[in-house]
Amino acid sequence: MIELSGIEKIYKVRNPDHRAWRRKSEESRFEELQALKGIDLKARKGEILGILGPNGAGKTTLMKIMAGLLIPEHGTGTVNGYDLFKERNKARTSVNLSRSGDWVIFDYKLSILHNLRYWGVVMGVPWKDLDSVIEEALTAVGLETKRNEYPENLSSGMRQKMSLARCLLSDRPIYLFDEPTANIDPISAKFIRDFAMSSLAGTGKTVIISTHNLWEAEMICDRIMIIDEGKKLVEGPTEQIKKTYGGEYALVRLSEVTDTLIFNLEALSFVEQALRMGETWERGDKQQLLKVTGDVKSNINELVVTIAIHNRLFNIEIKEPSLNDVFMKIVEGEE
Amino acid sequence: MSRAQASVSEDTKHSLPPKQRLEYVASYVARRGRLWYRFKISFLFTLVSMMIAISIWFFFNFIFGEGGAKAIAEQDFGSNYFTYVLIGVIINQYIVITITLYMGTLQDSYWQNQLEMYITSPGRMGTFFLSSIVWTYLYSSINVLIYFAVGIFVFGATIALSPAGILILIVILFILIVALSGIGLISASMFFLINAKGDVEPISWFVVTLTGLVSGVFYPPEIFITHFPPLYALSKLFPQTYAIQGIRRVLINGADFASPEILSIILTLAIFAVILFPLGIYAFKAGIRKAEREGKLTRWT
Repeated sequence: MIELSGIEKIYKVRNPDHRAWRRKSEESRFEELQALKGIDLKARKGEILGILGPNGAGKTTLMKIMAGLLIPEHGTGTVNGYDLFKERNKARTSVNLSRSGDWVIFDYKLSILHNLRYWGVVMGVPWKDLDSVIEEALTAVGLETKRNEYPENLSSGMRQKMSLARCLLSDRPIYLFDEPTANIDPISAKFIRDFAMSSLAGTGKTVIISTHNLWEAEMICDRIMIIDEGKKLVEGPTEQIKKTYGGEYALVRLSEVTDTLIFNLEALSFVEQALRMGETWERGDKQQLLKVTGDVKSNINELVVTIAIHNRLFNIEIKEPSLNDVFMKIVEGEE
Repeated sequence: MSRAQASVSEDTKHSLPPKQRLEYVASYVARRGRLWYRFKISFLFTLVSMMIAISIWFFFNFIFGEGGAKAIAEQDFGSNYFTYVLIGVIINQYIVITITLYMGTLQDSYWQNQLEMYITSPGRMGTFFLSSIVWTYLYSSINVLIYFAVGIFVFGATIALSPAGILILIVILFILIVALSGIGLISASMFFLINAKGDVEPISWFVVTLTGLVSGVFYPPEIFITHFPPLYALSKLFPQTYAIQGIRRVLINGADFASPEILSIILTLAIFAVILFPLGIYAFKAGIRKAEREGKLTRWT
């Protein structure tokens, strides 16, 4: 549904050190900032793709390019089968983009209903369908009882919901959400997540979510892409990325962590292999916690015996990595 | 998702059919009307300002009316300077509105972060501008009617209006709007092309300021022939000079389609429209393209 190849975007930004009275050349007034460096992306029909990355990674730039609002310097792409550059208008009207601050487009002196009626028509909904479409959108975001309220009287979370309702007015094959649940209470956030999964992706829409909420991404995304400083670091199915980059570990609670114990643990072949791959011990002296990495599940007996010989074992817990662990590891590994 | 609009064809979603375009315009007008109603008290102030403006010209006529009457009589516009200047001032309102409308509409949508929504909508910028034009002219026409009514019934202006005259007025105004829309679009393109995001945009400033000076709003441009010929030549470069002249011929002299001067004015305005409008669209598209390349369609990139 969306395919991008080799996308590069360079912004010309004002040089903060430039002072006009120094009469420097044009080049020194501006400097180049490469926001995207050869990004390839593929999002399929009925799939939820999560784009993750720290602040300034290039997520919004990428979203804007997919929405047809930004022209990259290099690269090619299709959106809903339309060439992003040659069939720009058709590509653009195939996408619904919703951003967390979009509520500012509403007129604060008009009710939610009147605002949505206007934006519905602008987004291409015929008058005859307007009421039912608005009703559906308001119900989807849980604002059906607030239709006659004015945006100026709403909380920021409700404004965010109103903005999402606007996005849901026009039925398009691709939905791009930039921080869709920012400022929204947990119940509504769950509602929106379920909506994205069942009502959008479940009915064949392509959903791309850019988020900082890694737990949320883990919950709903079929695939994730992690970018940083404009580069794609990882892309793939969420579970596969967790397995490949996360690695399970055992959290061992002990009465005492001694050097002999460490020596014997390091002698275990799976631990030795993990250490060789760059894993490190994490040892909390006060709590006597030891984090043992590697293929723990298959070697649990060996691990328990080794520890029991040297120490009184209180507790051993095998942990699956979270997307948060994977994200931190990948992004920090790049720095 | 069971969506009511699922029946809408795929092509319809990319562009608006005429019926939906009309619905768009009507929705825009309704929205602006609602917002206007919320701030309706401002209309009272506008009304008072209009009364005062007409009164100023009426009293000016006491002092300068004799000289004015002589100047307009030479151009065969009768001898009532107040009527002459009232028509000029009213038409100038339309002129200023048309030239500044596109930049104003673009600026509003930009500062309210709406521009990207309009660009990605099936009606795109064209239907948005059209809606803005319809609302602005509806609103301005109410003001103009009040101006005329007060000018005629309170201050004694004399207007010669026939059904044929109304038709000529509509034709002249329509072609003038198309021609000035070209200038308006070029002016709006400067928002992105030269980053004219402050209060003053050079193109509209230049045209609006010079219109008052040379286009015959307050006096016939022919007075420059003896006093300062380059300004007379300059006046001929603006479509509004011809439109103001034509509208006065209709409202003061009762001219109809049989008048060679009216036909010549309509033809000249049409030439301006054919040149300026496509130029305006080209410049505006170039401005949007630049903003799309630089990521400047919104305040926050």
